Order: sequence, then C-alpha cells, then structure tokens
Amino acid sequence: MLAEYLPILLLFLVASAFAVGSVAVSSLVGPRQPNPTKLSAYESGNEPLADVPGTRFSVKFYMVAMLFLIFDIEAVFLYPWALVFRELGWFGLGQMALFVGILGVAFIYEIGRGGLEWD
Amino acid sequence: MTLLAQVAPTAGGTAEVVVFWVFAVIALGSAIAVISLRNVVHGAVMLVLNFLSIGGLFLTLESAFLSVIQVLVYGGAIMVLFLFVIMLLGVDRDDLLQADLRTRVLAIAGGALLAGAVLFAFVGPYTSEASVCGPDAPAPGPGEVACAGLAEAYDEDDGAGARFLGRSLFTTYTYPFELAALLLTVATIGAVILARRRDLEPEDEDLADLDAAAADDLDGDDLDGASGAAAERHVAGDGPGTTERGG
Amino acid sequence: MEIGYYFILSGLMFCIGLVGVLLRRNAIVLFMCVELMLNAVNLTLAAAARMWAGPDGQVFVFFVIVVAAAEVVVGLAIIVNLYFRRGTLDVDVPQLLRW
Repeated sequence: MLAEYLPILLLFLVASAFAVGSVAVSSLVGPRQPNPTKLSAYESGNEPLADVPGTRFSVKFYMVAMLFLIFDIEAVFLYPWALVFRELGWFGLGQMALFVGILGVAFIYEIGRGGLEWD
Repeated sequence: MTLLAQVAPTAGGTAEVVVFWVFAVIALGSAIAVISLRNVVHGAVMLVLNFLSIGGLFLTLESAFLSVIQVLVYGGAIMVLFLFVIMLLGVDRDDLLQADLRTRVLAIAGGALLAGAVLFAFVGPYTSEASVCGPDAPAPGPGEVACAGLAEAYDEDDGAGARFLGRSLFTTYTYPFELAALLLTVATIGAVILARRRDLEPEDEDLADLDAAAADDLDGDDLDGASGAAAERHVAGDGPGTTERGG
Repeated sequence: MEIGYYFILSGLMFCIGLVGVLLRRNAIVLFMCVELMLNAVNLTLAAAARMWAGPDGQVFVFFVIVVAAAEVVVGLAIIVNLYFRRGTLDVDVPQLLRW
C-alpha cells in the first residue's frame, strides 16, 4: 500500500536535493567580487528611493485568495460525489445541486459587491 | 515501478513504521517551530511543513484521499491565505512574545499536564501488540484495544478511500453537507463585508463617512487610558453604524 | 503500527498548539496555533476511522477542514480589519468588548 507512494517520496528527495544542491554549488563554485555598485538595488537606472519599510500587498489579493479557498472547498466536495454519483442517483444530483446553488448565492453576492473588479 | 515496489515491503509493516516516525518527528519539530519562531513568515512556512507531514501521516493511516485533500486545502489554499494576510499587513518581523513570566510558566505547565494526561491515557492499552492495525495482529487481551484497519473496508478499486468516504458523506451526512454550504456562504459574505475597501463603493458614501468618523474617533483615543465611561460611549456610538451596515 | 502512537502524536501536537495560543500575542500566530490544534484533532479522527474501520472519522476530518476554511476566511478578514483600525496585531489591545 505505502510502497505505491515511493515514487512521490523519491520526487520529494530529488526536488529538495536539486534545490539545496544548486544553491550550495553556486555559492561554493561561483566567483564573488562584490562592490557597492553591484550590491545596490537597480531601479531602471534611477537612484533608488528610500528603503520602503513593510512593502504591502493590496487587499484585492486577499479577496481573490478568499474566493479561491471557497471554491477549492467546493471542488473538494465534488471529487467523492462524482465517484459515488451512480449509486446515489437523483438524490445525489439534487443534494449537490442544492450545495452548488447555496454557494452560488455567495458567488453572486461577491460579484454584486464588486469583489472581483480589479481597479 | 516494479523494482521500487520490490525494494519496500508491500504490506504495511516496516515501511509504515519508518514513514510514521519520520513524519512524526517532522510534525512535532515544525509545530514547536511554529510557536517559537519570532518571524511570522518563518512560522507560516513551518506550519506548511507541519500540514504536509500530517498529510504524510494520513497516507500511513490508509486515507490517501484525505492526504490529498490536506495538501490541497491546507497546504495550498489556507496557507496561501495566511501568507497573503502576512504580506498585506507587512508584518515580516514579529516581536510580540512578551507574555509575562507567570503566564509563561502557567501555560507551559498546563500544556505539560495535558500532554502527561494524553500519555497516561494511551500508553499501554493502545500501544500493545494487539493494536497493530491489520488482520494479522494477535487478539486483544483484557484492557487492550484492537485496530481493524481500513484495507478490507475499501472497494477493490478504491485504493484512496474516496468512494468509501463519499458513500457515507452523501447519505448519512446529507444535512451536515448542506450546512457546510451554508456556512461557506455566510463566511464569504462576512469576509466580503469585513475586508472591502471603504472607498470602493460609491453607493455607500454615507456609510463610508460613518466608518471614517468611527475610525477617527477610535484612533484619536488613547486606548490604554480610556475610562469605562468613554468605552461605553464608543460602544453606544458604534451601535447604529454596525446595525446599518448589517442591513 | 500500533494505533496508540497516532493518538499520542496528535495529543502532543494539540498541547503544543495550546501552549502557543497561551504564549503568543500576535493575532496571526495565534490563528496558526489554532490551525495546529485543528490538525491534531484531524489526525486523531483519521486514526479513529482506521481503528474502527468506519467512514465516520474520515467524514469528520472532511468537515473539520471545511469549517477551518470558513474560520480562516472570516478570522483573517477580522484581523485585517483590526489592523487597519488599530495599527497593531497584539490581541491584548482591542478590549472594548471585554469586561
């Protein structure tokens, strides 16, 4: 049973070995001759403005992430439902229709409030 | 693939024990890191590690579907939301580990007491030979607990247990399922109301003014020194605004 | 694998989360500790489902994940709002509703 997941474990190992390995090799092998000009931030040739403390995301990202979470949950419910759909028959279709309908209210509300407008 | 399958024992057995201990150590270590790292972003990354190791433990519990859900929802969506909020608030360095000594001692003592109670309850009856999961475990003696194991409960072609779960979820648990939809709807609407920008809705201008006034009022107040009367005035003053917003 | 070790592990994780909730004052970290505790409970439920060979534990895990998602959506919105109004994440500062 668990042996079926061995390839996933190997994938994890290879991925982390690649990540660690490339950072380690480039820091070991690569030449390093820093000078102040190289280390300064490049802003299209202009003098960099002051270090802005706490650069912040817009709250719009949060709205989108929140919607993603809600519909992620909906998709997660759809997987097992699709697998047992034939056994459930019309009852199953009805209850999933109700579920999607209730969540649709949230979706319509969000669109109505302009939650998806990006300006 | 067949070569890989030959390397690891096919039955639960040793592979399960090894995987369990690896993920258990990762889970406990990352949990301790979450509560002790001062940088919030580091804490969040450690929490992702914790969620992933819990997903691995679900695999050893023969619940592969739950494991996928765990990675998808917790590791994917919930943690993204957490990191967005951390970025949104611009708190990449935290600082607020200033519980006083008495609180700290009491908290750790309470946690240790609870942990001791858990150990006391489970070591022995639940960790005997008989509680190894699967059909080939010895019969449980008096006071011992047997573990049935899920392998035989699943359909032949239902390795992940998704159909097993779905069959119960959509028959026995129909009402909780619909209630979950209702809960998610309420949560979405609540979050939209809470998180919307005040200056985005033109039709709410009077409301925006009211919000701004309330915010000014609160900001201008010295919170630590607010007397009880002032606090009451605020509550009363905020009341109408809150109701209006709800309607 | 003896089933009791899963229970012990999740109990210890729950205790760690509890200590975190009691110790930390940052609202986001507090929230992450609550997630830790919810995950510990999930592990217990999945282990119980395996022990009894029944689907109920797994269904409960499912619902816990859904409720956690709803809780995170609303809770983080509250935290964002609180931060915009008060300029701090310290959970001891908002105290108008305390007695």
